[in-house]
Amino acid sequence: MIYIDLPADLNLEDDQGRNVARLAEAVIPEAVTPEAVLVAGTPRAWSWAVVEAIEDGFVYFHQVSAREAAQHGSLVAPLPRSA
Amino acid sequence: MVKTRARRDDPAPRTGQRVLRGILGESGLDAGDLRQAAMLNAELYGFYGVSVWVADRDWPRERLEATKLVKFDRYAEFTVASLTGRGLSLWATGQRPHYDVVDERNDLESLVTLMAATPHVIRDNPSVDREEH
Repeated sequence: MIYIDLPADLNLEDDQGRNVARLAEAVIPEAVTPEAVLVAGTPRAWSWAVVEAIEDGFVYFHQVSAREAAQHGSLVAPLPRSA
Repeated sequence: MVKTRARRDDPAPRTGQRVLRGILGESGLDAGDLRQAAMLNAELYGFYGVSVWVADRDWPRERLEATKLVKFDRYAEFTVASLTGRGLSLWATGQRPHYDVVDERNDLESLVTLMAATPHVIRDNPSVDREEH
């Protein structure tokens, strides 16, 4: 099962060619910080991503390959905390 | 705070050009997905719009499949004529070849209903990148 950190529509690009998503929809919003590596998209269309900026409740990120993502650290994310 | 969306001064796409949008879920071009996309765009830029890619000589279908759509295993294919024939418009927004499909009245439900009802073909993406997770 794909674990999505940040639900996103990867069709959407901003004027700088970055993808955009709502911070509030992140599984762990406090983990979404600049330079963070995460999985963004939907279970059917997702990508590794690096967060570029967070502004006004929106997360701006760019897609990277698994190899690029691994250069930022472990690709094994901790399981989400239970409520 | 709503941002100003850059609109390119490109000539209007020709009627026969292909308009592609990656499929987000399991059920094809889903009205709920279109609505969510349009609402997010309105929060960002102040108008309801659905992101699509318009193929042209510089951005043929094969290039779009391998770049902008590379994470999508399926995509919906419209033509410019099929969308404009329903009363929808294509705004050249952001960086080429990104466009927004809009209803000029900025009516969310009209945009979603008309776009979902526009004839389209669901295609498999032969260039999809299925990376290890």
